[in-house]
Amino acid sequence: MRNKGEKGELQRKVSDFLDLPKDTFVDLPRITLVGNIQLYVENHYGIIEYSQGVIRISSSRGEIVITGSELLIETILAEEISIVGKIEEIKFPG
Amino acid sequence: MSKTWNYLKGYVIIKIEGPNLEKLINLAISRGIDLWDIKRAENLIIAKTRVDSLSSLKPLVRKTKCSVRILRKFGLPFICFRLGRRKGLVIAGVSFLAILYFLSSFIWFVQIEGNKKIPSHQILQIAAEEGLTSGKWKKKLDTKRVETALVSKIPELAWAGINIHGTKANIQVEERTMVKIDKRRMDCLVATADGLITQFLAISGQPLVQEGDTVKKGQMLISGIKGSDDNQGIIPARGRVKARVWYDLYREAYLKQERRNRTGQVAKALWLKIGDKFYLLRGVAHSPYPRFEQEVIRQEIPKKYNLPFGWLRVNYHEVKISYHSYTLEQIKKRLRDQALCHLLTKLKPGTQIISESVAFLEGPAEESIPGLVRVKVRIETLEDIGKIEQFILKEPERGVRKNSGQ
Repeated sequence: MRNKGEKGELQRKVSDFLDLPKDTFVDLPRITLVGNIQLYVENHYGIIEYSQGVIRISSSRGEIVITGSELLIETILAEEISIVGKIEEIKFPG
Repeated sequence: MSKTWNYLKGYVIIKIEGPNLEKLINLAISRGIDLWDIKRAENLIIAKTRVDSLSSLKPLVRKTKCSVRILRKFGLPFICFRLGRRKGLVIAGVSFLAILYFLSSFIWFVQIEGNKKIPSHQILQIAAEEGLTSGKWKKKLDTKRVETALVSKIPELAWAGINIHGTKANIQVEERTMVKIDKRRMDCLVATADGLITQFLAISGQPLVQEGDTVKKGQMLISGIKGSDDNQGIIPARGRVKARVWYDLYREAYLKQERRNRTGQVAKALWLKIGDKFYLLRGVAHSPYPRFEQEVIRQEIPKKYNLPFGWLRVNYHEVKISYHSYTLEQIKKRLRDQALCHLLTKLKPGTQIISESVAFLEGPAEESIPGLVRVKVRIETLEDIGKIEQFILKEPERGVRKNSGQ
């Protein structure tokens, strides 16, 4: 666990130094929002809760909570989730 | 792309019911099971997945104590399966296509285009003899052979072409323009004027005159009948005949002649015309001059309006009359010019004037008028006097009747 943390630190420093996007080295979720109708989450760890009003997704930074209405998982793959619907909030409760 | 692929592989809409559906989704992802369009209700989800993923989904469902049900099936494998059950329909469809293909490899219709005089059934008959007929297999048909046969067997045909469009064979033909020889009509060359032949060239036909002969107007120069009495043939007469032709023209004039010159004085009048009546609007009603030339300009409204109105302008030009005496020579020249002008309008193009002479005529003493000069202008020309006329033969041997000038 400690090792992994150090590795993460190193990766972050390297990507800082080379001025590269963080998600290429670090296992961080990459969230793309298209207006308020579509949302892509890459590098997710799976879903925790799924209902029409709330979708909770687990990631390396903890939970991502998406609230809205008429939410629908359009696709779910090992690396990527695509959500459509009326998105109101994206929260990282920590 | 992926949608098409999913359709080809086949996909199903499934309904999963159970307590821990999120866990099931996560498990499915980790096993590489594709799920899409996932809809969530209270304790069930409706999602789409591929047919081949179903078998790997089943143990997961059991593990999470859920139940899965297939709602609808989409895609090619299902259609094939359904068709497989309806064998009759498949067989009918396939045999329909096969029969359509089979029948389309035959000629069913034969059409002819371009024939005006040759009857269509004659062309069809010859085409059928060479193998082009309805019900013929296309592969056994040699269109080149039919084309050559058509042209060789029907002499009136100049060209034949066959185009095959599907089950229709189109025979296009071009007819030869045949020169018709009418045995009863004959072209002859006749003289258009009296003259002395200077040049005679018979291109075809029987020459009846020769150079140096004097001919009368209407006389036959080249006959269309050729050959001796026993062996006669008809040939259109053609040729070129040049002859010297004389024209005599009579002219007379007085030595003393009146001349009218306008003095420049003009009196004007404007008349209004209503119906058949005239009303003077402006100017003079009659000429104020004893000797005058009257010039009338009609200014009527165009006929199409059909109105009974009109204007009339009248200009009276005052003239002075003077007398001028000519010498005999001057009169002679004037008369000769007049005669020549008159003749030139009547001569055929290409006519040459060879010579001219002017002779004074002396009439009987009691008829002679003092001061009157009478002349005869004789002009000699060299012109083509040949003209083709058509004759109709009453009998094949002799006796020609004039039909009509060409």
